[in-house]
Amino acid sequence: MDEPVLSVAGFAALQRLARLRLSAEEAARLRPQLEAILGYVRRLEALDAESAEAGEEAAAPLRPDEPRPGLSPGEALAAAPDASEGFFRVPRVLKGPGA
Amino acid sequence: MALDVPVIGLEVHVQLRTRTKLFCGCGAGFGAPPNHLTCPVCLGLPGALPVLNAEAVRLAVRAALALHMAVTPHSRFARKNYFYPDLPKGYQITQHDRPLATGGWLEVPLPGGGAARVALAQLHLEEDSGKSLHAAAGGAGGSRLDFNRAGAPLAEIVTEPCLGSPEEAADFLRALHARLTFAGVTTGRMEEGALRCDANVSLRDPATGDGTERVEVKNLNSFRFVERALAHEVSRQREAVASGAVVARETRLFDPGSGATAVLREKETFEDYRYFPDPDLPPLVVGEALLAQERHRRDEAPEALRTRFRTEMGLPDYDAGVLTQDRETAAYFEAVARRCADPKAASNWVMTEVLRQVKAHGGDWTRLRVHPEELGALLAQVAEGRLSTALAKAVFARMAESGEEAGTAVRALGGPVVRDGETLSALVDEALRAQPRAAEDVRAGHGRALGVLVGEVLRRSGGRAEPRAARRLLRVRLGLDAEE
Ligand SMILES: [Zn+2]
Repeated sequence: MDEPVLSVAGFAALQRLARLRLSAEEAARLRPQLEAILGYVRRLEALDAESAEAGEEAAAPLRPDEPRPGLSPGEALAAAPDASEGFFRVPRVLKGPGA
Repeated sequence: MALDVPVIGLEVHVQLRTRTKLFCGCGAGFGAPPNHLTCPVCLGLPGALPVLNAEAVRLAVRAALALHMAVTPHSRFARKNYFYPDLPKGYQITQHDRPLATGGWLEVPLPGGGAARVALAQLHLEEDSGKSLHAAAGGAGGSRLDFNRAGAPLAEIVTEPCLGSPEEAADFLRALHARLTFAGVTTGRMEEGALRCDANVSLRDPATGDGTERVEVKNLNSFRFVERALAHEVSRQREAVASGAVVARETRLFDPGSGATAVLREKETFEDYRYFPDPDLPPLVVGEALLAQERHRRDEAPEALRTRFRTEMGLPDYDAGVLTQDRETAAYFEAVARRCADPKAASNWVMTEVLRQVKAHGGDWTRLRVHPEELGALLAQVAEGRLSTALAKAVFARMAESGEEAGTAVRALGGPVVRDGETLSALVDEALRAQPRAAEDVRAGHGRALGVLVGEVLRRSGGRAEPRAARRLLRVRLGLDAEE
């Protein structure tokens, strides 16, 4: 129970997965915050959730398969940092060998 | 013996045939211009909430039952976190620890007769990603993204690693394609990516039970590619083993151009998707009612079907008999009738045009390239007077031949439907001159004669005039109200 909730190495791995580059000061501030959150979740995990769950789960509401108007292409692209000819544009993504 | 026997497992992504996406009301169809089918939900904009599509659940349950799987009463959705530009939210909604269905099998016909059972592991629902169009190597301009497909509903079907050769894998995929297309689960259009496949390949030593590391091969989007890619991968692994090298655990991409697979990424580097239950989505509960309906649909005996077609759909006994001669005909008819809401019209078409096409292909329903929903939509247009029967027949024949969509086929058959303007006006004038008696009768109050005149306009337009518009204009010319 006393093992660290989030090791330094684990925190570094998460940064890589989340594509975050944190300065040493930011990391020092954020790691304890994240540990506090995970510590809370760990307390929840201790509850016997399986027995409480059965039969009492709310079912996901279902939607009829009816098309509804969404965004116009202009609206959809409005918030994009870069767009051209109706497409969102991002820096070149490598694909295939060498990715 | 040594490490020599291929062990292949497939993960097949099946596009479910719904009108809308899995979690939003955007159209899930194809052919729209880029980014015309998006909304805050499928673009992952802040504050948007997913709501599950009932039809996607129904079709996934139908697929599970068709594959003899056990449906999980309470399944749940999870977030699979990874970063790629075609994934707007930064995570994919999928099912992880509690998939919609598990177990099951599919019977695959063997080349020499008989059949083999391929064991299945699970089926789960998930959303599709968007499409990236990559700039040419070294080119400027970055990658372009189209999110029309983002959020479209997929069922992922995973086999046990029990396929013993590339040919067997391809045969399995063909059988799965046929089974799910007939059940109405998917359009089956391979060229639109209706069935996409990844494979896990390793070699095993049957004597010792030892095996090589599993290699995942991605991007197998046609039956032919599956066979070629797997054949290449098996021989690559055999060569590696023979030369004493180690087969590394990695993901490889098949390049149809070269016929070879190449490393996409090494497995050990961060394949951590940090799955967790999606807090926006309560568990998916598949009720007894839905299960019963879909089981019934699967199991209904021909006699029961025949009775139901007579009583519920009001078909003559002759029609009901023809339509229940085999399950494929019955299933096709039902889907057409459901879409066009006119069982008798659907019956007439299936008994003539459709069965003629199927017969021309030696009775092989897999080669009929028009999905029943598409025919249903076509018949609905005929019923609404937006398409003449003659044109609809030509359109259907062309679709069956070319696999085109209805819109494309209509355009290919001589441009758009004539519904207004000079052309229609001229056609109406010609018809009135050609049928003076009918025109007189209508003026004298015999409304039925109008049908003769509409028919004349359609004939003169080569079936391209819109019946509804022709009728309206004729009424105006004859001094009646435009609407009846
Ligand atoms: Zn949407």
